[in-house]
Amino acid sequence: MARMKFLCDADRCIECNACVTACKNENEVPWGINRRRVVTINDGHPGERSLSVACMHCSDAPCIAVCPVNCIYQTAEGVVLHNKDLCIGCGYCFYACPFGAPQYPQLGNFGSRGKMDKCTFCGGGPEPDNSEAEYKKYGSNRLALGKLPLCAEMCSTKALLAGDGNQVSAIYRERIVARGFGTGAWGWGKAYPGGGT
Amino acid sequence: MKRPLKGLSVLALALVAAASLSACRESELGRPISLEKGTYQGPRDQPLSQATLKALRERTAGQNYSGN
Repeated sequence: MARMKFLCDADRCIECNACVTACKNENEVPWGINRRRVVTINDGHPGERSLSVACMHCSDAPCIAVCPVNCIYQTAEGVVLHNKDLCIGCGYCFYACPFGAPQYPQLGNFGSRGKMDKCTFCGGGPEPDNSEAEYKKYGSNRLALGKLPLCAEMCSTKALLAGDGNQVSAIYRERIVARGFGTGAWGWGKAYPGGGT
Repeated sequence: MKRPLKGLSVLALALVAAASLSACRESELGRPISLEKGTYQGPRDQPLSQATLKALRERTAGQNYSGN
């Protein structure tokens, strides 16, 4: 199996924010944290485009390279996960990430913050699959149940695709051929340089 | 009168030293204590079964429907 990837088709995204809501609900993401968000460029002008952005689970993830406590790792399927027991909330990964994916819950006044939180591709964490501890720390583990991330599964226009990178790119390629135009899959060049399979 | 005090303070020091050195091993702390740059050494996910991977592939293929 090729690595797991996200792809947001900017020509299909209608900025409904259902992916954001689905993610927050499925994973019971705490207040102040958005693992996924919809970004709109040229808002209200010709050429307006919206993109659903979260951790892209990069093939050569810069967050892994900069983490001083080595709490971030990749699974066999290429999903980038982290261990909250090891995370010290330093924020290096946030500065390294080209997509602004890592988030930090505010713990108290004066900017004190907690452990990093980010999209897990609905893959949970290092705790036993679908255990209470895993759900509490990382949210739902849909991958272990044979299900894709809920944000992609419930996207009404199928703008947000997730799954095996080869299959996802095949679906997108088919769309581009049918449309007769295409500007490339947003973020793929940065997240998966050279294909990243 | 001075001798028992000295003995007690030595004993207290020894106890403090023993307490500060205990539970410093990796197994007792429950987390890796040696760092190798860029290498995750904590517990990992259980690998997905072939049946789960097949189900994931089917779901991925299901995201394709007609229309551009």
